[in-house]
Amino acid sequence: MSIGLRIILLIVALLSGAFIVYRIRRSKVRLQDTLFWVFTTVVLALMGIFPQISFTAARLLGIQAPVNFVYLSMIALLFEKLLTLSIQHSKLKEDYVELAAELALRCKDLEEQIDKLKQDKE
Amino acid sequence: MRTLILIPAYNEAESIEKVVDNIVTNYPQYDYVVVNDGSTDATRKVCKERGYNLLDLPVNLGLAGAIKSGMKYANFCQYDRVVQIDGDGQHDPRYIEDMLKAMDDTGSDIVIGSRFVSKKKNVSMRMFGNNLIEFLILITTGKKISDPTSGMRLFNKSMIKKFGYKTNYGPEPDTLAYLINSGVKVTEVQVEMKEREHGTSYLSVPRSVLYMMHMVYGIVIFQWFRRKEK
Repeated sequence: MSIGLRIILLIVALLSGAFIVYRIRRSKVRLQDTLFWVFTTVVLALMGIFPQISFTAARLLGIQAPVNFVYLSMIALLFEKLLTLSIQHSKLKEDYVELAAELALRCKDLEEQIDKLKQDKE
Repeated sequence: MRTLILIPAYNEAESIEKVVDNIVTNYPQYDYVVVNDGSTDATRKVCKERGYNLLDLPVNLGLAGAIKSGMKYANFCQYDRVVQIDGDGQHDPRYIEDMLKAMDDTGSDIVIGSRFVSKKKNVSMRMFGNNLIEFLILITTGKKISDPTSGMRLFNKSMIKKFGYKTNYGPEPDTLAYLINSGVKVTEVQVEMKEREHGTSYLSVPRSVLYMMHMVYGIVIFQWFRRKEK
């Protein structure tokens, strides 16, 4: 692992860490959604500070170059994020349909009641 | 001082009648609102037929969303205090008086109806979680909250505004830890709770694990990133 890659890892960890803390302080993000990013930031920082982690892990997993382990971890993290995002997205779409349908139903109910009241008045 | 009883209800068709009728007949000094959290059973129908004061959410938001909606309602109707009780009948409204008194006497912002102020916890997985959260709150805030997961809580006006309008104010122990560290006064009052008779709890096993993960993260890490504001 080159020193350049380690520096990049640290910079990325630092920037994303700072950004997520900033969002939390502004109360712009939910607790549940920060867990992943705090974890990812810590993992990136650890890999940048202690290259031995990548060396050992690469040897154990039979990966030729330690740097490939770094890439593999990032792909794994992104994969996990994509999976959960996709599931959340699916649920949001479902909720959105539900919300529209319920709203239409209730509006109709209200309109009918108002019409009835008007008729009674006349 | 006007007090609102906030009853979040998710699939509580079998027990909601008993809970609300008890309040209407025995505790007419309090107003109440049932927040139907997108139930898939007859909760809405039962409430409509009985003419209950109902806030009916069109989709299921989860407990935090139901409480937020209820708090917005309380603020909108200018209530001074909100007491949250469960829709399954495990909380007895007769303790509300004690909780209100404790709020007046101590000047607290939040009063928790606790099962374990003067009583010991029994041994179970649930109590293990309860103990762990109690321990984490103790080491991060220095304050002992003997029943942090209790669903019976009394909030004052400033808490109504926070819980109703701000992000990350779920009605959960991690919020309590953060609030205590922000200078909010939290006290506990001894109450008895019954076992639920119908329906299922919000917490299944995988949900409990996820819940504990979020609580540990929220109390140990997340709260320190948040800006402290009283």
